[in-house]
Amino acid sequence: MIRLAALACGLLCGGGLILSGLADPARVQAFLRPGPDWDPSFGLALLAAIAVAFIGVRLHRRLGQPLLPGPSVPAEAEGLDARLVAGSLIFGLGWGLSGFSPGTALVAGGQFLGDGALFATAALVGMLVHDLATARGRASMKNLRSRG
Amino acid sequence: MILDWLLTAPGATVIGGGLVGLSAALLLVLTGRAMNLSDMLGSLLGGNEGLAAASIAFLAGMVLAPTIWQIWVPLPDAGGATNVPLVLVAGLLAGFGARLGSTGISGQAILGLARLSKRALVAVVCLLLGGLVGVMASGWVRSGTVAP
Repeated sequence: MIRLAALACGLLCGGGLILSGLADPARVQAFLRPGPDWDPSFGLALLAAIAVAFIGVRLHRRLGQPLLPGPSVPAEAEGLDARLVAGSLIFGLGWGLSGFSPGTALVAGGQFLGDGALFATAALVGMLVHDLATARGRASMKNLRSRG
Repeated sequence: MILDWLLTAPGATVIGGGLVGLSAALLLVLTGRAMNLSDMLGSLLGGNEGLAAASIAFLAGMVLAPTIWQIWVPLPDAGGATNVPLVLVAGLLAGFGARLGSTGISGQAILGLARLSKRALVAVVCLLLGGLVGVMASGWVRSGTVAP
């Protein structure tokens, strides 16, 4: 049941991205690039999305638990740290370079646009690189400590 | 006539954005999950199996959305000039950054801001700063100032 609900929400989200034009990387880049040709559409769509999501957040808090039974979900991270800042800057760099984020890339991939599929695949590889690098970092720290 | 307005900017932009927000709200209220597409993509690499199944169902919905969309309405034109190395580097950066900072556009800019989270606000500022630099860099690459 949860999977079915998630599938339906994914369809809705994909449809919204197509309708708003945000699945088009050129629109996203036109928002990020200041100048006479600045296109505020991304900001408008984002504000609309935040407003509707805000109602959902309130409702979720009032209900106290999800409507569908299922495995419990870990709580959202709170507080600030350097990883959040560095990760967001690096993510933003890739977002601006291409106009894609993982979500819009999947919708573009679903339209058989090669760029979208390429971006999503590259993002998976980037995540894997991060995981391997941190695993390695942790292992070498351990080595240092055991030697010291 | 209403359909015309719905499918052209800015009506489409705002309604499309609203649908993305509705998707985030429904997912949260029904299943308790945060719509964080980068995180959902990352669940393809493994992790909590019970949670991953719903994430994969959501992503499948996003990929299928264009196919279902074009049963009724033709898809809007999307996709500019392709630059494979640029998209590849962008995807790698976005994936790495997403994992490093547990960050992403949908998770921070839509759901995070809807939760009025300070952490999300900092993330969004960093995402936009990174995006600004990224879009400038993509301009230099495309204009030939810098080799890709």
